Amino acid sequence: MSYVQHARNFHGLPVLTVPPYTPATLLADAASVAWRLQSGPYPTDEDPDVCWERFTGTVELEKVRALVLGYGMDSVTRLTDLSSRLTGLEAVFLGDIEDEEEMISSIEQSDLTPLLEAFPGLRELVVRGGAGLEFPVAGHPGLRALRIESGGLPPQVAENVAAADLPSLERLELWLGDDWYGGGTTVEQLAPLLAGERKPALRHLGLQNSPIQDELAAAVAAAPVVPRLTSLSLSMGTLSDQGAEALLHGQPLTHLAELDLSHHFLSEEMMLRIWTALEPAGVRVNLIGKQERDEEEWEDDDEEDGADGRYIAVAE
Amino acid sequence: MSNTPESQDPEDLRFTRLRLGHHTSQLRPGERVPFGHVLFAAATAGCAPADVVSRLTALGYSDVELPGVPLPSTVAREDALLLKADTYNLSWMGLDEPVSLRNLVAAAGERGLGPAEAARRLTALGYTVPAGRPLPETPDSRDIMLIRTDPRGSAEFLDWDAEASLRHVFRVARELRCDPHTVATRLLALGIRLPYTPEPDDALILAHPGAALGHVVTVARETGRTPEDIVARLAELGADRPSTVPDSLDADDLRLISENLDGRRPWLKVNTVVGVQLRHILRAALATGRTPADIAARLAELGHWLHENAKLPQVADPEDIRLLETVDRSFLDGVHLEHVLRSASLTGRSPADVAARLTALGYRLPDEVDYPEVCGAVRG
Repeated sequence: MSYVQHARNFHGLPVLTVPPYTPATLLADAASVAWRLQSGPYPTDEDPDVCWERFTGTVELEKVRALVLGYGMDSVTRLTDLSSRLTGLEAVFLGDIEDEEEMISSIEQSDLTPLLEAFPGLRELVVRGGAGLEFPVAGHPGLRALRIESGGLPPQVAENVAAADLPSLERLELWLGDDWYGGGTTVEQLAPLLAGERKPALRHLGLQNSPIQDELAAAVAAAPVVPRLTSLSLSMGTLSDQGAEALLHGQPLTHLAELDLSHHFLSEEMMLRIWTALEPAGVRVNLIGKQERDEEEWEDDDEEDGADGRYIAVAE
Repeated sequence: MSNTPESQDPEDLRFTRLRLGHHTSQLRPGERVPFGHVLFAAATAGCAPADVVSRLTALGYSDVELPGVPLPSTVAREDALLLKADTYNLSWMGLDEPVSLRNLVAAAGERGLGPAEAARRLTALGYTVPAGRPLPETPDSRDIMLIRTDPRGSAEFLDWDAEASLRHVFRVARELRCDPHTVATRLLALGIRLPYTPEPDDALILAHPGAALGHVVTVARETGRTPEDIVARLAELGADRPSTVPDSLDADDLRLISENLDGRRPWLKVNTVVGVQLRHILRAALATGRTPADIAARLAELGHWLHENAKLPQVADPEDIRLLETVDRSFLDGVHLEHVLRSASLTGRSPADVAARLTALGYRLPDEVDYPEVCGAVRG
């Protein structure tokens, strides 16, 4: 199953896709759903501007709590232009696009600063795609949940998120991605985040989908932010026995309710060690998605790409 | 300034170069002036179409497309835009050929008019709308989607007198998230032929594609028809239908074939590869007080067979149900260490216990592992 799928629920609401050419008056109460807007890839598909105008012209925008913008709905300006009417907007998903529509590495995003400034009431933000993305260090006072899904998150974005003032942020998930697709975030760039600075409310941290998952695990094993977390995800990356060993020898993790290591390259022996070390203490450990190293790639490894036959879950 | 076709005089450009959104209707020297351009220029400039013709003629555009009816003295912008062809770039319908259904419903939809009214206005302006066809008075901006048969390339649309296939009806209903009967009746209203005659009950019968036995039975009850009649209608409509319809239904049958054992949608889907889930049988046995074997036998009669690898316990145990709810593997899949650990984690049982019980229920555990006896902590 692909990790990159259309959202079915968002911000606690069922997602309702506005069908083409359909007046929103035929659909649901504005506050009862997360509205998903998209256009199609063909010239005779409804023009995204027309779709957007029809939606904003027929729906009581003040009641809208959550918006999911899909294919063709390039995003931030549409929202900021209507910030005076979208007064109840709590949650935004930018780029809810599946692989069949556009590869995640091709999804264009932009500077999120105007969005965060225009919507002080924003509580949840999900962004899919890292190309062109910028995130302000100034942060946001009310944001509680932030997830950036990417096959290659620009390192500067990760660094800025790590350094940003997000005093209300409870959940942070970053899909760091592959260098080849624009990723390359280092542990050093995440230092303020790992030190527990500027995000005092943080309870869930996901540093996921990384080709340096072992390094991240080693950093997390000693990171000051960990004791305050209730759940931690190091999933979707290239975690091997080396990273898991660091976790086992690092600071105690037994206070966690959940540790998600799914999509990993652990040996069976290490899976059993992790499980037996943490589960009896009350940590729910997710080890689903055991991967096998691509031996051919490993043997042919020329040390330049550093891939060593282990691949992250989402790249291209 | 010279009054040549290349004139860049702003006053001339008001008639030769017309902006509409991101697009432009630009006259070219030596090319015929579309009638739509004339009317849109008149509407934009606030003058009579005849004045536009005179002005363009004076500018050297002598070949102006004109209708066989007198020009209107004035024209509203909305009426002028009815003449816009449904193309990506701005172009105008020609007077020399009948208005296509595509152009008609696109123009009507964009202007918020019913197709009948759009046809009357186009006719009054001198266009030929194929006569003698019924057209709906009610506006529906979705009409253009109803007649699009292929979105690829320059796209294909149904035209006057065309016939829509059942597959088309279902596909459009899916795209527009409405029921196929709504699509079918609107297509008929637009003059499109169908390979069947829509009936009022169709809305109910076709409401849930992939019709399951439970759907057939409940629709039969709601409409006062027999299940066989409903299945026959589904067959006539080319829709999915259950392969098995028993002669009579037991009191528990609807519960057994509903996913939540409540006799309502969602109905159990027939899985022709790995069969019905063992946990459903055990849940149904507990809910009805019958034995798992009895439930499995009846479900098989209703089209839901249990995979031959499954080992059905004699008694339904809630602990088994809880365990099976954590297993997303079929009886054909291998249940690996990762799955055993996950099930152990979610149930609070030891991996060894999980592995032993899944093996006893018929699952295949290929990994040669010493599963630990230690249990996860009990969670609130």
